[in-house]
Amino acid sequence: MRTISSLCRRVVAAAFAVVLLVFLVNATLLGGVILSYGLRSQQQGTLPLRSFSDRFMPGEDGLPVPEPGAVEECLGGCAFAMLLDPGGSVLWRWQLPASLDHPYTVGQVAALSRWYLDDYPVFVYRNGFGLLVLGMPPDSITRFNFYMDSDMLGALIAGFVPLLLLDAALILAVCLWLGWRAARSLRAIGQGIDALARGGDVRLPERGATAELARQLNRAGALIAAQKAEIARRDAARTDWIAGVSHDIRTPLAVILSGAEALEREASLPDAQRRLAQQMRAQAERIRALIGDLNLTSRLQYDAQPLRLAPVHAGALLRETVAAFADSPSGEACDASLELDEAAGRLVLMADAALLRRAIDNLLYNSARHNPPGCAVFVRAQRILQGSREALRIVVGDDGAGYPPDVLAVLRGESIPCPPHILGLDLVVRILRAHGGEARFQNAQGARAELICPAASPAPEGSP
Amino acid sequence: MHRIQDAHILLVDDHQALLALIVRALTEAGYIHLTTAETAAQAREVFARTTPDCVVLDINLPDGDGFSLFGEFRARSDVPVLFLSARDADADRLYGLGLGADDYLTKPFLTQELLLRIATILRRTYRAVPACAAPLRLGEITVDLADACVLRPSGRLALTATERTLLLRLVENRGRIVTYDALCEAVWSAGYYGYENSLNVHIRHLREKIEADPSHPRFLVTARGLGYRLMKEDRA
Repeated sequence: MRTISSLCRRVVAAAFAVVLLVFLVNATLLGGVILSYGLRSQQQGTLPLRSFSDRFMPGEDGLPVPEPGAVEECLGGCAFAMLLDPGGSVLWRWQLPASLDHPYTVGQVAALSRWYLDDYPVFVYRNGFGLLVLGMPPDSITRFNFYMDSDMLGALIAGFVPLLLLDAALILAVCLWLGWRAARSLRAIGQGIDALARGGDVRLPERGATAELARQLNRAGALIAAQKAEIARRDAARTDWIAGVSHDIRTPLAVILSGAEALEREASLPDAQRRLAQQMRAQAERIRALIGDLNLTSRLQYDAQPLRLAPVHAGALLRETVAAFADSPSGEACDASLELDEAAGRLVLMADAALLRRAIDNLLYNSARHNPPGCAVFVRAQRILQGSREALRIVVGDDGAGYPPDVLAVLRGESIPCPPHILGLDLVVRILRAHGGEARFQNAQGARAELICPAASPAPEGSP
Repeated sequence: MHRIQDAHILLVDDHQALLALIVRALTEAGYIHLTTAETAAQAREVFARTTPDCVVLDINLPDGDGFSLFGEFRARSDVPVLFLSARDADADRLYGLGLGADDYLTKPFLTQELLLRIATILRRTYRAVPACAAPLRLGEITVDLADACVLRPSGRLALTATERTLLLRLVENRGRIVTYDALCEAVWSAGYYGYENSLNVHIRHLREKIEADPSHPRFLVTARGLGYRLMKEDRA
C-alpha cells in the first residue's frame, strides 16, 4: 500500500515537473528568440534609423543632405529612403524606386506612415527638415495594427504574475486529482497483491482502468487457494495414512515385543535361544522407535504437531535422558557419560521436553547401534551466547566409526544418487528447527552431533 | 490388601495373544488375581460381578471404545485405570488422562514398564506395602525400610527421614540410575535446584550406614554426572 501511495506521489510530482519544464523551456526559447531579434533590431533595426533622421544638415544648395558616412552607417538593410518637406515634395532621396519618386499628399503620407508603401514596410521620422521615410525590403518586416484599451492593458500587466501562479496551481490540482484517481484504483490492486503474498483470499472489483489487472489477480488468487487446499488435503491424507498404518502395526508389534521379552527371561531356554530372543526384543524396540519417528516426522513436516512448550531445566532433562539410555540394554553395552558445565546445568529452556529428549535419544541410540560394544557414547553440554541470548550447546558423540559420508552429504542437503534413509537424524534436525535451534553433524574421531537450543530468556547483563 | 500382588486386575484387550503375554508377565511378577475380557460387554459383566482393584483397558474394542467404557467404570467406582492403546497421538493421550485415567501406555511397550506402572498405580492408590519394602539385604547388612533402621553386625542404626526417603526411591528403581534431580525432588519436592551438595552429604551419610566400606561402595554407587544407583547384586 505504501508502495502505491509513493508511486502515485512520484507520478504526480513528475507530471507537475514535466508541465513546469515545458513551460520553462518554452519561456526560455521564446525569450531567447525575442531577445535575439530584439538585439538585432537594435543593431540593424529602428535605432540606426532614428539616429539617421538626426544626421541631416543643409547642403550647398540649401537642401537637406545626410552627413558624410551617415548613409553607409545607418541605412544598411533599408531598401530606400526619402525626405519629404511639409508639402509632400521629395527633398532628398536614396535608392528611391521611380514609382515612388513623386510628391505625396497628406492622405498618402497618413497611409504610408501606418503600414506599407507599395509592399515596402516603411518607417517615418520627423526632423527639422521634414518627414524622413525609410522603406525596408518587402517581406522583411510584418507590421500589425494593434491597439488596446489602456485599462485592459493595465489589468493584463497587473494580472500576469497572478495568472501564472493560477496556472501552476491549476496544473498541480489536476495532477493531484489524476493521481488520486489512479491511487484509488491501484489501492485495490495493492490490497489484492498483499493478500496474494499472504496467501489470503483475493476478490477485487473488476472495473475501471485496472479491470484487467484485477481480473488477473483474482484468477491468480483462486489458483493459489486451490493449490493450497489440494496440498493441505494431501498433507492431511498422508499424515492420516501414516498414523493409520502405524496404529495397525502397533498391536502386533506389542505381541512380538512382549513375547521376545518373555523368552528372554525364560531361564529354561538355552543361552542361544535367549540371545535370539534378546535380538528379537531389540529389533522390536527398534521398529517401535522407527514408527514413532515416522509419525513424528510426518507431524512436524506438515505442522500437525503442536509444540508443548514449557520451562525445562536443561540439567534435569539431560541427566534424565542419559540415565535412561545408560540403563537400557543398548546403553549398557556402551560407556555412556554426561559432562555438563555449571552454567549449562542451570539453564532454563522453553522447550517441548518430550521432543528434545527424543532428539537426544535418537542420537544416543544411533551411536550405540552403529558401533561395537564398549564404544564410548557421551553427551557434553555448555551454555553459549548467541548475540544477547543464552543458548544450550549439546554435543552428542562417540568414539566409533562416525557418520558415513553419504549420510553427512544428505544431512548437508547435497543431492546424491541412492541417498540413505536417515529418518532418525532427520527427525533430530526437525525437532531442533521447531525449537528455533539447529543441528549440525560432522565426524571428529567419531560421530559428533551438535545441537543448539535457545534458552528461555535473554542473558543477564554482564554475564560472560 | 497387604501387598500390591494381592490386587485383582481386570485386563481388557481384544488381542488374545497380547492378553496372554500380559497375563503371563503379571503372573511371573507375583500377581494371582487376574481376569481378562476381550470385549466391552465382557468387561462390563466382569466389572459388575467382581469390582476389580485395577483395570488395564485397551481403547479400540470391537464393540465399543475404551474411553466410553472408562466413563461407565468411573461412574460406579474410583478404581484406578491404565489405558493401553495403539493410539499414540497426543490428543488421545491427553484425552484419556483428562478423563481421569491414572496412566496411559502406548503399544508396543516393554513388559517391565507395564509392570512398573501397574505397581506404581496400586501402591499410590492403596498405599500397600510394596514387595520391595521387604527387608533389604546388602551383603551382611540388612535394611528395614518399614522401621527405618539398619541392622549391622556392629549394631542397629536409625535412618533419618531423608535417608529413608532416598533409599526408598533407590530401592524402587533398583538397578537403574536415579538422577540427582529425581532424588532431590523426592526429598525436597518442587523448586529443588541447587540442592545437589546437600544431597551428596545425605548420600555420604547413607553410605556410612549401609556400606561396609563407604569409600568404596558396593551397593550405593555413583553414576558420574547423572545420579546414583542401588545395585541389584553385590558389585564386589
